Amino acid sequence: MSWVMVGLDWLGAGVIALGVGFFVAGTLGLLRFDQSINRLHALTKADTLGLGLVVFGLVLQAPGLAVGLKLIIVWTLGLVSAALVSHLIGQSLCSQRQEEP
Amino acid sequence: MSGLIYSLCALGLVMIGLYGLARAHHGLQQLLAINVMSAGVFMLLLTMAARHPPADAVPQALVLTGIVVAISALALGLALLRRLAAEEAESHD
Amino acid sequence: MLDAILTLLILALAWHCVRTTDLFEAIVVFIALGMLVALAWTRLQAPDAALAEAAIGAGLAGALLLASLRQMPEMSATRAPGAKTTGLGWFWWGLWGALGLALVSGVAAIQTTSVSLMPQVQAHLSDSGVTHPVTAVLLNFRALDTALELAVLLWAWMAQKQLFVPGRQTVYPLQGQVLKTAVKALLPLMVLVAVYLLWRGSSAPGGAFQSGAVLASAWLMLWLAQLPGLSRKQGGMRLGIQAGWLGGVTVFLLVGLLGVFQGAGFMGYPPDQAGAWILLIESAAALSIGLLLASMVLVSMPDFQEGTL
Repeated sequence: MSWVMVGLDWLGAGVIALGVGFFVAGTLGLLRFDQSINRLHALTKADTLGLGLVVFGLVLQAPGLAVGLKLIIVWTLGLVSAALVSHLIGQSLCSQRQEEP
Repeated sequence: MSGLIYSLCALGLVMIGLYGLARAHHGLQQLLAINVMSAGVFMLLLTMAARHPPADAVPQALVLTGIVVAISALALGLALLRRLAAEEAESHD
Repeated sequence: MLDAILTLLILALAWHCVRTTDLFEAIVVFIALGMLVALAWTRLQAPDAALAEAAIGAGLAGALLLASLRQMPEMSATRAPGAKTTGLGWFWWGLWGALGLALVSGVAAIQTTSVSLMPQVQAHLSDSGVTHPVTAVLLNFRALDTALELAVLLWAWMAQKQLFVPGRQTVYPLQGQVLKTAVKALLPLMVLVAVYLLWRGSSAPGGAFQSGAVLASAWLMLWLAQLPGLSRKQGGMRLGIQAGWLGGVTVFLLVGLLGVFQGAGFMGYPPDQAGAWILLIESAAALSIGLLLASMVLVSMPDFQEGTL
């Protein structure tokens, strides 16, 4: 294995560790915040960045172009579904708030 | 080693499910407890399958069949509970 | 190490799931439990079962449970007034402990035996028409089990149809175009993934169950986005949906009967045609499983009305 490969491997591991840190922070927010809308905020911010960093780290370690591209597709789908789900949860929270008074 | 850990996990799931079934107050809790138990049974089958590589395909196929049967049972149980709730609401009106 | 952490997490979640008195919390914990169990099964070299558990056992079961929860009485309403004992009596604890001991000794006894059917499966794999052992067992060696399982699914759906009560609750209408646009964009992709999973099943983990689960969620998304999807109001569509419900079992049994006339016995296929027959059965089964699972979730929705399906 060449030095470049080893370097990329270590860089990937570092980036993944950083991403995991964001996941932990997001989970903490999910558990500690008291309002659903705040929890949503913590979760989506951290998950978007966390997932992005983990996927980026894995792409750096990927054995080939095909695997790397697949990972990027996974990341895109994850982003789309996270945005969609947050939007729906937000809507449902809004409707609850309007019903209450 | 991991086989032993997962068979303990399977046993734990079955026992926890059984406990939950015994102390359930609500139909939904009973259904959840049964499903926890079924997850334990599936896990035991898969642990048995994974003892020697390559993993035995017959228990794995059984588990796949079991998952679909379990969701059928869950859906039917929920339909019964919904009907029960609707009948009760009607009799109160 | 990972296995031990996973096991502890699974057991803790299962304990919390049966202990908590908040039903919503119990369901959320149950969904998380399903995901972790799926993770554990990939560690046990069972990717097929893990895929199915994540999609069906955690995903669709979660949707069913959450949709049903809104139509049920509160926890306190079902408990008799004045009842205060929440624990088990000593008799039940004794029974529980005895059963636990029996299970431990039983499992310990199985651990020492080493029966595996894998050698037989591998010996006949070349006659089965597929190269993935799990698919070979499901659709060739133990095809009758799978056919009966489809029959169970169909029967459970028929029973639910009879139990149906029209939803009384109104749900806040969807705002904006985000969901509609996203569903329109994602739907072709989901159908593509379903077909890919089905095709892949002959040589690698995947197959009719996983493909059916993806189809079911595609249909549910179509319904949630209030797009003109499959509606029984149109006559042709109505027949199509009914055919879809029955299709899996019917095609399976017809192909099975064909085996009798070809001399391979009931549910047997001649080795040289097996691959094609399995693909035909799997396509019908995936469509059936998708439609049946989606129908089951749809009738559990709080605002579902009879005419829509």
